Amino acid sequence: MRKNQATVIDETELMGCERGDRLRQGLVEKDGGFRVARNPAAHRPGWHRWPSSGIIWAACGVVGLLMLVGCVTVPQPSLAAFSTGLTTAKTQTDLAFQSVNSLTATEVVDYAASQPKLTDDLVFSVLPASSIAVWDRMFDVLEKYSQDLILLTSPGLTKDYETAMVDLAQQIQQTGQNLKAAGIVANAPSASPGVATAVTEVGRLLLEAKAQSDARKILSATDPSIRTILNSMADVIGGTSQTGIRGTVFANWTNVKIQVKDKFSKEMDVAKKRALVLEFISYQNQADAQDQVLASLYRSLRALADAHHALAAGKDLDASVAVAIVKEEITETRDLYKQFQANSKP
Amino acid sequence: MSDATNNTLQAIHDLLVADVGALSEAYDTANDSNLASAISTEIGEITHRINLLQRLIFVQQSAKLDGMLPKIQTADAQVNVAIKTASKAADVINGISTFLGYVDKAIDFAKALAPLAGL
Repeated sequence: MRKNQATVIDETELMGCERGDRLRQGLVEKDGGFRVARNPAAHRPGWHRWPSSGIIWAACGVVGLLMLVGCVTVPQPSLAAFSTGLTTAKTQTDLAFQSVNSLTATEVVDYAASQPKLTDDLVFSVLPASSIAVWDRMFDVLEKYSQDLILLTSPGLTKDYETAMVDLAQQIQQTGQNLKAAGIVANAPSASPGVATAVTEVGRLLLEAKAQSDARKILSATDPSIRTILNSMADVIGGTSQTGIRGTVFANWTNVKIQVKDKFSKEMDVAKKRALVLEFISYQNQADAQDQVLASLYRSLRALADAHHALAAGKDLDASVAVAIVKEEITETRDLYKQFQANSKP
Repeated sequence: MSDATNNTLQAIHDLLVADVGALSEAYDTANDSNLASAISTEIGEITHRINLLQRLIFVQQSAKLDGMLPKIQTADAQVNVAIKTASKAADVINGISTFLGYVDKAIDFAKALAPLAGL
């Protein structure tokens, strides 16, 4: 870099703390970016006029303090991906539960038909609407929570505060002018965009740090409960093909396949036996696809729990990995569900 | 085990699912058509209980229900022995009938709790 040559850095590359660092190092914002100058004073309108100004040094001190305490930020993209993951997991769950009810309804009807007497007890939904509603409510709460966290860490949150800080800066300036007019202070700050910018920036950074700090505290405080909820939901789905709802699906498909085996063993005609083999293969494929849909949902819920834990612990890399797993599982579940539906067609 | 579900019912449910798996394997190795047919019927009976338990799985914990679990576990162990050693249909049917008798008692009790869980 040549002497006196300025370098413009894309602002989007600079997150909260880095931006503050740049400012603290004597950079100025210009044209949506940061301009680095060898002679910072020449690029700070008005700043050189009050080298000992208490406001400026106080502002720099606060910014410096913010840099020290607020550098562990909650990554909004991971938070947004976590929220999207919850929304998609809810959709996955609805689809998975519908398919479970569809499968088990056949078995419920078949069993009832085999009984000498039809009673109310014999006809039921394996996953009743009331249970599905509980899951929906659980997801609604989690989605609302994640959206509130996104709002809390949103850059838009600072807009109102920035406006307030500009007003405050003007008040400071007016106060300075009043003081000057009263002859109390000889060199009080006059109307200066540099001061206004600095004060506004202090306000923005203060609020950002407060919001980030609040978000981190909330994530940490809720982490044990959120993980318990998500892991419990995963356990209801089933960690293996023979536990939880996956176990129910396994038993129902086994029952379906056993009936085909029974027919096969009693059938003498080879052509009809061949048709039964094809039917068996079709059921086998549907059973595998449905179990994989549920297994994928199980992994999604576990990954969401891990993502939340990583966000709470400030481990952005771990959160990114967990969120990537959720995205991958969501895609896989969608594909598997399509496969399951395709196999279900007569 | 999930905190969201009734642990006792979940345990019974998972025992029954394991039994379906064991019976399915026994079906494939059965030489006697009567035995195979009996196994097929019992898989249907057990699957029906699994579906009932899945429906009831969110009912509240109950000490009385928890107290039923050891008897069911003991009976289930006997069922597993019967599945592995039985060469006659009657042996399998008798073993499973006793076991399902205990399971049905637990299901009936859980059904009484179900309205409290909104089921």
